Amino acid sequence: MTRLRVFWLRFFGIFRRKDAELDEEIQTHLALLREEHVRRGKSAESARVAASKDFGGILQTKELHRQGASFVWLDDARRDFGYALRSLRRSPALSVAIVVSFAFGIGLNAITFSAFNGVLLRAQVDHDPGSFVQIYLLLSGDWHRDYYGTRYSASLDDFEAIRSRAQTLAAVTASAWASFAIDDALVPRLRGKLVSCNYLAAHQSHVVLGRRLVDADCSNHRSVVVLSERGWTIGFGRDPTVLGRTLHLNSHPVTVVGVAPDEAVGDPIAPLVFVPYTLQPQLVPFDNYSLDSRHQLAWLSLAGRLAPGRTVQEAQNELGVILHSFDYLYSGRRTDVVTTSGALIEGPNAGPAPMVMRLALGAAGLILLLVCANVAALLLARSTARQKEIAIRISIGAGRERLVRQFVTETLTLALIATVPSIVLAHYLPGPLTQLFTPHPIGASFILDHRVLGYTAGLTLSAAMVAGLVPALAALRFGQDAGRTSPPEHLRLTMIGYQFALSLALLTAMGLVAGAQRRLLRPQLSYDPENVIVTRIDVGRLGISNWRAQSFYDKLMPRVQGMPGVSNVAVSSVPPFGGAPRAAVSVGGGNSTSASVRAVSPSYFRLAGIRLLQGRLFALGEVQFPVESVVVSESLARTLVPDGNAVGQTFRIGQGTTAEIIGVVDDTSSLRPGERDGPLLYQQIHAGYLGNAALLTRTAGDSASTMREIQTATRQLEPRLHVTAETVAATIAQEAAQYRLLSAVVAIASGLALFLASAGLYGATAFAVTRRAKEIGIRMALGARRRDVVELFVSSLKRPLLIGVGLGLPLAMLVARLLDTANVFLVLEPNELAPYGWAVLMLLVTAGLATVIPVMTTSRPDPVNALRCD
Amino acid sequence: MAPSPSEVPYGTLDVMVLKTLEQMGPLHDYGIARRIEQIAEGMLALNQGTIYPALLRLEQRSWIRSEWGSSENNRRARFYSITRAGKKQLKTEADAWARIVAMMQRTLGEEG
Repeated sequence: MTRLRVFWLRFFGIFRRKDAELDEEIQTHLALLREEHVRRGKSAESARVAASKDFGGILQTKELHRQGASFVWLDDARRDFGYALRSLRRSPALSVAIVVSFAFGIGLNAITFSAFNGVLLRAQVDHDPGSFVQIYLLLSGDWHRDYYGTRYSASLDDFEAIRSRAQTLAAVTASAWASFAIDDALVPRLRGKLVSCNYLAAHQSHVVLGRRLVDADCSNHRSVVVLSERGWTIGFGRDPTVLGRTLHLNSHPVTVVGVAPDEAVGDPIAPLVFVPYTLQPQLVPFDNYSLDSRHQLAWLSLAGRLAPGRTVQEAQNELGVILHSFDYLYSGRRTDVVTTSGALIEGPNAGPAPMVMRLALGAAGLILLLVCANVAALLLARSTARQKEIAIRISIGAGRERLVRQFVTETLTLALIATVPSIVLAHYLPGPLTQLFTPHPIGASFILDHRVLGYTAGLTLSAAMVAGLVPALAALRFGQDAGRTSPPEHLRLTMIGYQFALSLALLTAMGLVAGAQRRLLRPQLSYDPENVIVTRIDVGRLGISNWRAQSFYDKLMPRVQGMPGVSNVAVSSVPPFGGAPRAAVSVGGGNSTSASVRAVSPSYFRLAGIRLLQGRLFALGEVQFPVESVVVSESLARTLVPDGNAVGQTFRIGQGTTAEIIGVVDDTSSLRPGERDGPLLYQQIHAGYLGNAALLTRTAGDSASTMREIQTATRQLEPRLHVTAETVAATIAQEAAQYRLLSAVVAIASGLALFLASAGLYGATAFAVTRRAKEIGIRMALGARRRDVVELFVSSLKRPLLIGVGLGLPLAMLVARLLDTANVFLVLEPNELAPYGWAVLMLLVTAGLATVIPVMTTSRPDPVNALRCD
Repeated sequence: MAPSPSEVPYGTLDVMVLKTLEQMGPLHDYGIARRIEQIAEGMLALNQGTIYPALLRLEQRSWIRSEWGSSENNRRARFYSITRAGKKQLKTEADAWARIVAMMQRTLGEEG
């Protein structure tokens, strides 16, 4: 204990006497010693000598005191800090410039990190995060089941097994996202969760209005819902009379019994309404499933609360054992359970998010590096001015290491000042920022936890080291050799070269991402995506037979076909750019591959402008047994039958069906925007698909009015049906919106990089011009024209540009490669040359301007004046 | 030949300071240094400056405390006095010393 106390006393230097006090104490001591010697009969002079002999070295005593009272390094740091503050006040403009640069670089990083921290790294729980557990099921083996939602969800059987048997969990909850059409609110849809009735009690701390859902709501199948506070605000303007009101969710009447607080409950997106999961069959029926298919369908996302004293790992072990019992029941099934503390990045469904995070943080880090290079250049410029001071300090005995430490402390001081606004922004900005990237309300809270603060502190320290060390070392070398008057010009130019290299890499990345986005938004289609309407009709929820679905479409399609402006109507199992299931296909010889599968009506090809290359298209009423007639895309035909005519060939789909190729059509883009489809297999659509198919309508007229007409026509045929419609262009735009974050970050990063690099170059050139004013004056007096002077400076661009392009191009290729590896989320073509060319061109132009402008503006004074100055 | 004054063994100065303050009551730094020199009777070569770190160490451990007062020549001087914890510590140290001395005597006595 004493040791610790002494440490803190020393740390804060509590017993550190002020220099004056220690002086006084020592002086009294010496005076008493002198008097003693005088009493013993010495002369005043010899008493003084004897006294200081008895006392020993005064300086050593003071130094020993300083070492004992504090820690020397700490005391030095305190002094350096004070010195730094004084010297920063001496050049306020420069200090402000550096602080602003740092604030910008560190702030950008802190905000980016805080945003990802809030969404990915933090547990998405506000109430008692310590006991929260998120539960993921991982099924492998031959046994197959279907999913509604994510692959890691649980079936009703899984949920009930865990709920009744788990000892490690005090509560087990289930939830599933669902979207509800609503007629009686301020908005047309409420996105919310189907939840087990213990959900709100387990995960939230209080109630805003009314009551929570209670177990009896579920067991009695009551038609009640609880709004979230956000849902209450968005949908009902916080109207307190909403309690007890009857709303119609997907046309089903439900009563509002309460309003829940906006506390995060496992997702970064905030639900607007909570509905008992027992209402699923009435509100959101799945195609061929209901609550009865307890085992075949996984749709519930599980979470829980640990029993007191239990750990996440213990819960994982126990749940694993409980669910393994199903593996005995269903042969071929293998169940593994993963439990996490609720942070999305720990779960198996993080998807490309960690990659996006690393890329965004990497881009922000590069920017900070650029900022550091810029700050270093500014500090270098100042060290020229401090040459004399450095030389003096070295000559009176300051050690190299001590001087370097002092310079780095100065930089660190500036960086620390810059950290303050950065932290404030990292607290307030990520919320509104992340909201830009999703139409759904963000529920994650962005707080400055130890991760955000630690990351920012680490960055600040490294930035100060990076930006401060180079100029400190340079200044030192330069100060030792006080006779040399030229500043370390080459060093500055080298650093600008590095900035160019980074800018070039980022500019190329911007070009690549922009290209990918352009392809995404303007896919090369043989139809105008604005003119094709996708109508989703949830025929399946009627619970009617396939044959009634068939007759519904048989009645609807001629009606739509007859609407003004409509040229084609078709049905597809999956809408354009909605993805497609894949199946293994193999020919007898052994050629096997996997292909995307799309079931379409014969009219689909004409509607989508897909050309027939060989054979024929589907005919109405084609016989599909025992051999199914299919149409394949050109690339699938090439894979299956590399040589010769594919038409008439037979192959197998998956394990069962035998199919015969009746036609080959050209490749197109219909699965992911901006990407060619690859092997694609077209089956003729049959009644089994119609429960959840997409009606495609191509119109020459106004899409919006056609959409309304289709809705009216549908309602007339089946008033209970719910219809949503949008154009293919809208689907593509939604898809593209997901990538806005990435392209925004890359665009901002590269723009800033170039700006910073050119600002650095501009400053350096302007500085060089002023410094070489005399030389320029002489040159001009000897007959040099302004053009020659400009050429003189432009020629000094050679070095940074060589470094920039020489280092930047490989770096750009590396970045392109990295982005391409992350291809999961964007279709890039890293081998495209245009972005590289554009980036180099932009760099050259900017560098040229940043050199020529300062030379032109500063070399105006006439030679005589230039020679006269200093 | 008279034995040459030996260096102060590390750590013993602290004990000497504590003992001095216990015996003499509050003293300023010069007084402490003088007193130790007197007791040592020329057996120790003490640079009087070396007691400053010792005083600091003791004060950090709260075995002594200090306050400003005025010296016999009417200068401002810092007066140090022993605390309760200091007295306890002194007793511990004195016992330890006594044990070591007894042990050393036995060891050396047997040899000689």
